[in-house]
Amino acid sequence: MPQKKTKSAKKKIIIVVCLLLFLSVLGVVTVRFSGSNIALPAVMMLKDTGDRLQQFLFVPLSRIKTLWESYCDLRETKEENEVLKARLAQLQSEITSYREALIENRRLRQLLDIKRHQNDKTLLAHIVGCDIAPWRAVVTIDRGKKDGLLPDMPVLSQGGVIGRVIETSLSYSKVMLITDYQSRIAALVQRNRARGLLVGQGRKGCSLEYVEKGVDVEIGDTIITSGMDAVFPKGLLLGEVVSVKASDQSNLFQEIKVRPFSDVGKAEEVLILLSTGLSTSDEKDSLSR
Amino acid sequence: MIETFCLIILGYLIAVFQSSAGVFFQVGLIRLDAIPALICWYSLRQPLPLGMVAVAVLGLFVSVFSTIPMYVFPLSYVLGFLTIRYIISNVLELYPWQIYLLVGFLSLEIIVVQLAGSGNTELVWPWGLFQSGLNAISAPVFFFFFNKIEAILKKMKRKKRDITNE
Repeated sequence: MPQKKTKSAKKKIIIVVCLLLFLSVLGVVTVRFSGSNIALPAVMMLKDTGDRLQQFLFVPLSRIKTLWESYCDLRETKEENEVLKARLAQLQSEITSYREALIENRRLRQLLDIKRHQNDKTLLAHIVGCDIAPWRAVVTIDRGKKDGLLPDMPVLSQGGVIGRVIETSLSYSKVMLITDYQSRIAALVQRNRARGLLVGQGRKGCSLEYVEKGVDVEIGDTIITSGMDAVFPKGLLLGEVVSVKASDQSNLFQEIKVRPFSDVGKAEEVLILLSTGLSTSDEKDSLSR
Repeated sequence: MIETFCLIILGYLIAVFQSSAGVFFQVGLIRLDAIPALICWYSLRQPLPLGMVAVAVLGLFVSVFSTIPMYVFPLSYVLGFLTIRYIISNVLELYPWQIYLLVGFLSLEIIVVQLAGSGNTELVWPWGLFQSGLNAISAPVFFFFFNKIEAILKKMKRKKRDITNE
């Protein structure tokens, strides 16, 4: 009996030592390759599996959400007309599916429009998940390395720029949205070419920073990419100025709030710019409009 | 060992669910999060060193679903685990409400480490505190489920052992 106990204790110690060794090796390898663009096959496989599971859950859950919204619509009508409830339910579900198709059609048309105006090669992707940390505005898309995606590729939606690729695995990628607190984009005011930095502010949208106090910026001004960050080509639409405050005397810069043109919270499809050659001409400004 | 199995498998499944359906349960920058409750539930049952290793492994699995640096999740979970082990080593008995309070405290610790690791410490107030409050309030529901799953697994194990003995 005591021999058995010693054996099982030894076994446990071996398991713990093996796990610790595995973690240490993983740690060392992670640190070694962090910063470089080399992804470990095991990590990549793990990420791919996770993202696949995410996609598997995300699609039916989105459908459930749509159904739930239809149900809410129906409840309002029910109070008005009890007799037509059954008929209305049928019509409502049909309308929902038609509306869904119509909205999708409109979205894709708009994306196609951007694609037509964009000289660079583009790729359509669907959003399949989000970051587990609620404060990160990062989404998972169903395109990865095998589709030619690389970190720092710009991502567009109907309105304009929605973010950039920050991480890629074989079939999936993570996109940092422009509202993320870590997001920084070199921008300029289209009207007077004043330069600034578009910084993500989470659910509050974005802010245009480092614009000096004397510079004339008005509510309604359009903000576009300046191309100075070597990530986004010049002239892509970013957002619209919603408030301008001169701030206190100790601050050298203006406080400018910007509402992104792209519907960051509701986007379902996005367009990735595969070749990101920076343009020096202003032609793209008018084209992207 | 059943608790460890519960922790890793359940934790991974919760992470998958939260990363795909998280936005549906999100208000502002807070959302329903079952992982701190799971770590607290596990920490109350499993001592060192296996507990610490298991929690670190869960952290690695969860980090797959985030763009926060990979070491942050294992670090935050291990720190949370060690805190709970330290507290219960100095307490004779914990009442349920104290356990749920502990979930809130553990959540705050995890969130602070994660926010610091991702460079967003300014969000501790108010979102970090609100999130820990939500985690503490929702903990009884999650504990109920974890206990049920543990009971089912134990029952299955007992049955298997009985069959082997026969």
